[in-house]
Amino acid sequence: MDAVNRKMFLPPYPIPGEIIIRFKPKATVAHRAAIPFAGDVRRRMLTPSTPNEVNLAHIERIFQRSGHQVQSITRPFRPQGYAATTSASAHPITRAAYDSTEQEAGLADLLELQTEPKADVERLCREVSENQDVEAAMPRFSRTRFQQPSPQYYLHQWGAWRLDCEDAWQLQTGNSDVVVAVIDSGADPNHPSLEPNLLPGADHVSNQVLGALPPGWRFDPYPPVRVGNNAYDDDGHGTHVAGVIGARGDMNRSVAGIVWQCKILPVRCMAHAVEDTTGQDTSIGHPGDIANAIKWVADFRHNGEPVKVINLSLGGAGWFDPLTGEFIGDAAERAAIEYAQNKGCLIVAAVGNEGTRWPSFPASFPNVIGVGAVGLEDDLAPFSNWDKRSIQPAESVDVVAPGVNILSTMPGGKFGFMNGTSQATPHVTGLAAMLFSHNSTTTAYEVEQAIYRSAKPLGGPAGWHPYFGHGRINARDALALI
Amino acid sequence: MNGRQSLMPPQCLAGEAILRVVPHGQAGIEQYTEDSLTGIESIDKVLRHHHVESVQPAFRNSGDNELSRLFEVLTKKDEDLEGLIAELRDHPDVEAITPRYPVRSAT
Repeated sequence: MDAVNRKMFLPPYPIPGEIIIRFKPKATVAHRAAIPFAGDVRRRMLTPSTPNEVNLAHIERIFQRSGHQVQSITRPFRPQGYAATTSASAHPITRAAYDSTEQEAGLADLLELQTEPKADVERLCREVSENQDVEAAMPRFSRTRFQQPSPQYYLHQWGAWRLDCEDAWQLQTGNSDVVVAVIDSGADPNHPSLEPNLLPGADHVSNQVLGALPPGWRFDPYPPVRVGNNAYDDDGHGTHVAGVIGARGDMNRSVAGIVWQCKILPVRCMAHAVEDTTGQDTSIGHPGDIANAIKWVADFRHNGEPVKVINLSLGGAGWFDPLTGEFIGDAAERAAIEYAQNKGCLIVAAVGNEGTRWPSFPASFPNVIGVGAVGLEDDLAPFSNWDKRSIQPAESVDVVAPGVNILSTMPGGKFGFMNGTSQATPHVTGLAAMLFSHNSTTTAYEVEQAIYRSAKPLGGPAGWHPYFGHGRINARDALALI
Repeated sequence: MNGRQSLMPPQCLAGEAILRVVPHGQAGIEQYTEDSLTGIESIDKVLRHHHVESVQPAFRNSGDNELSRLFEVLTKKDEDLEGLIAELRDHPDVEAITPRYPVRSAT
């Protein structure tokens, strides 16, 4: 797949009411008249020339037949050596004011016409083009930047391809007023791809975590509880997750996050642990620390702005209550999440990697976006948990996102691949940040609904599916709904 | 793929439970500390029976009525947690009590 050279999705909308006409060099009409430079007059306020004044009555008649008026006529180029003037003193320019080089290039033969915004400019252009003095008449189209991340890294970022991020980035790459919290193992504050976006963060690992270590495992480094309050990442998981959300895609030699300018608040509440016999590692946390971290994030302000999205690429089991037949998540986690939701935070959480239908919390709490993982072909990742609501009260999987072989930032300024619903989750979080950036007044509920409604249904017809939820997310289509 | 946590079965945290009291029960239970397990008499009895070591607020700086109704209950590691939960869950001052589970990164 040629990910780098795909076409941008924005349809070519003409700028309302604007037409540019190129006259034939030997034409005897308008372009020889004295007409002001467009940059010297204010749009929508100008009446610098009338069609009659510049001998464009025949053009005006075409407009009148369509029920429109030529509101202004200007030249798009200022002649060389022509001093800029103010709007109040804009003065006309004749064709002779252009030097020979400018005339040869045709700069003197171009005129801009402004008519009513509702006019069918494409139709007007077709009719104007039939005039014997006119070489071409065409609508004008707005220009956008072509936002492209570093090709050598983006080549491997299939997750962003799948979300149609290249299209979305033409409209939105994130806003620095939008703060995203990553509650995880921390983040590398010196990683060049993250550093411009990282806020100082906090450490919420307490002595409670000592009780969360399973037999046969040890914390590395030990002790897991630090003296200072910093969110430095000694595991790598949080750094990777943070990069998927918000690595600076506009830098050379960098992966691209789903958003490039949003602020990331790293909160450490997971500690790196190693299994003694196999050497396997993970990061482990205590639900009490997670709950307190969520509460802290909900109260946090950056330049007066609250956190918009919380990423939780983590989870744990719930208690199966034999009396009710329901799984119940940790009460403190749930209370903290409701506290944050009441303050307008959107919560996104991983559904877990056991490949079962058993619910994982906090993903299974109400109104938390639970995220499963898919591979390159939109196939469910074998490890991704799923649910079956007909027999299972917990509602885990709301959407799926890329979670296999995901390239992102690693501690020490490096880049690396990871798998898991942990990696799928920040794709959704990044998308939520993009939507909040695109419309600062939108609510968490509206963002959540836009993500669901724009998801590509998988596993069957549109609607909720036990493996894929509402489907695989799409940034381009979600932006269109905000 | 997914090797980082496959060896870790879901297992509740030994000797830990999370307790939410009903709104009017909060005043009594706030009296519990690491040194004192005297608050609501009928709860005290259960706590002593199950060798509960402390009952502490779940949030360090709650400042919120809902959050301040949550308490961490710590017992000895080998204590019968299910028995404690079974006895407390039907108490009129207890809205909910459950064991706790470790949290792992989902990579």
